[in-house]
Amino acid sequence: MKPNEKTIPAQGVLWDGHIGKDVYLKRRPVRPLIMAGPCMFESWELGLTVATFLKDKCAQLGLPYVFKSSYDKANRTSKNSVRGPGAKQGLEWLHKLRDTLNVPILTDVHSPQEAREAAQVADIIQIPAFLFQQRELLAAAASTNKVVQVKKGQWATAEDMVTVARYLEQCGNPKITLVERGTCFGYNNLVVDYRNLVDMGKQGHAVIFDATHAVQLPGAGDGKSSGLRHMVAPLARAAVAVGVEGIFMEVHTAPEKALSDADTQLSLALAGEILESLARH
Amino acid sequence: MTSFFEQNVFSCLQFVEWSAAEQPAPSADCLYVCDVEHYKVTAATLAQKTSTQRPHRDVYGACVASAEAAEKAAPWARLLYLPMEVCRQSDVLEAAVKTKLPLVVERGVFLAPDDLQRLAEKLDGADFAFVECGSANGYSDRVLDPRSLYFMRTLTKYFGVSLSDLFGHNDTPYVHKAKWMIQTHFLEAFMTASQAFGSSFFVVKDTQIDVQSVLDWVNQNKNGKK
Repeated sequence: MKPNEKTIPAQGVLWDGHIGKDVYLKRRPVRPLIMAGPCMFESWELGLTVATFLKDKCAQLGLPYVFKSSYDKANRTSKNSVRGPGAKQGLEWLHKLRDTLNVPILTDVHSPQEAREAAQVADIIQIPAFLFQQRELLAAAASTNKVVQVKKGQWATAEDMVTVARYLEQCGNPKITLVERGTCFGYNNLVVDYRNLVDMGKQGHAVIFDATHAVQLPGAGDGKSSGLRHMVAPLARAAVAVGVEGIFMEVHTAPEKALSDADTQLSLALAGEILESLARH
Repeated sequence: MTSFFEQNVFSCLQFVEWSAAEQPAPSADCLYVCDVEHYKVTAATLAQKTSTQRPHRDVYGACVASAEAAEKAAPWARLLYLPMEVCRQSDVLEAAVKTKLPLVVERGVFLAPDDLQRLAEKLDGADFAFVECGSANGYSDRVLDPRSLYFMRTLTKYFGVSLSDLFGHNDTPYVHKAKWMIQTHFLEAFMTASQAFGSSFFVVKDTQIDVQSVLDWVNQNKNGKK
């Protein structure tokens, strides 16, 4: 994939949209960038199967692809929930997958030290929504010189996110993507405010729509989160219509058996259908 | 085990800058809280305070948002204050519990009151108090929900209410907050409702709210009587 002619302006500093390998993020793309993979990197086999399917499907449809997975779910609702393989094993798998399939890697971090460790492998360092204003964490992520993706807090405004993006720029990193993942709508419920997709991009920052977390019903599953999987496809298509640069979604070979976000992860078949509809958009 | 909060009755926890925290609090029942990360307090500074100015340990609470900050603050802080953004971060909570210091933990504005039970489980073994910051009501507004106070009261004997979170945010450039919401009269409504439900203390994080007025109000309204 070649870079777009239009570079991505961010407060006077330019980023050519390069993410990793030969994948570029384009402004106002005909076909959005896809960031997808299992919520939790439960096993090497799961990661490889999902990534192989998504890479092939995206290549067939002309969609740029980045593999996404987490190795430590550090903010589970319950202390008894599984957290994942941990940093050592998780980063080893991510590194192996990056080399095996030649795809860029996205993973999330929860502390400055974790950001530095993950940057040895990942092309995109993701800041979770709850931590989007933790300055030490943002500064550490920015200092890696990798793309920094920040999820919008479920209670935050688009303006809050633009402020965060400016802070990252002040830290010397213009490679920023901002993610809408739903806004609190009472308890245990989220709605997607499409105004955020417009306003988060007002200053020239790339905007990503997180299609599977945005349909979550946080904590609604008696000690875990539930969600409305059937809403993923229509909401993702609407986000592409608004003009987002990328779509983020979580995919699993057997979502009903997934160790996290079982109600919102997509099966390979459903993910394939959604990708086809996004490519046709 | 006797709770720290039973032995040390604070009407107000006031967030202050590091330099201001060198000064005595306005009242014996006001405890200063200092944000370790925001003010770039270094480990060396803390070590110096611990060794040469031990009495400061009786003055400060430390606001910490990471496991590293909790460990750094533990030798000198009297209590640890965990902001609402980290109320689900298992590593931060575990590190805070490990310090064995009393903990003051904010409920996330995104967290359903029922999930306070899950939060309490993560704090198992700690002497802790919750702080209510309100529930997100659209953007830039938080509402005080008695159901949340109910859960706090059933899960821990001591809990507080952050007046700044309920009242504040009139300086956001993204104006979603109507002017009618920003009236100081509402402070009394927040305090009366909180105290009626058994709140033990208030939290003030900004200069919009006069701490002395809060302390005066508490003194005049002990035991919920005006």
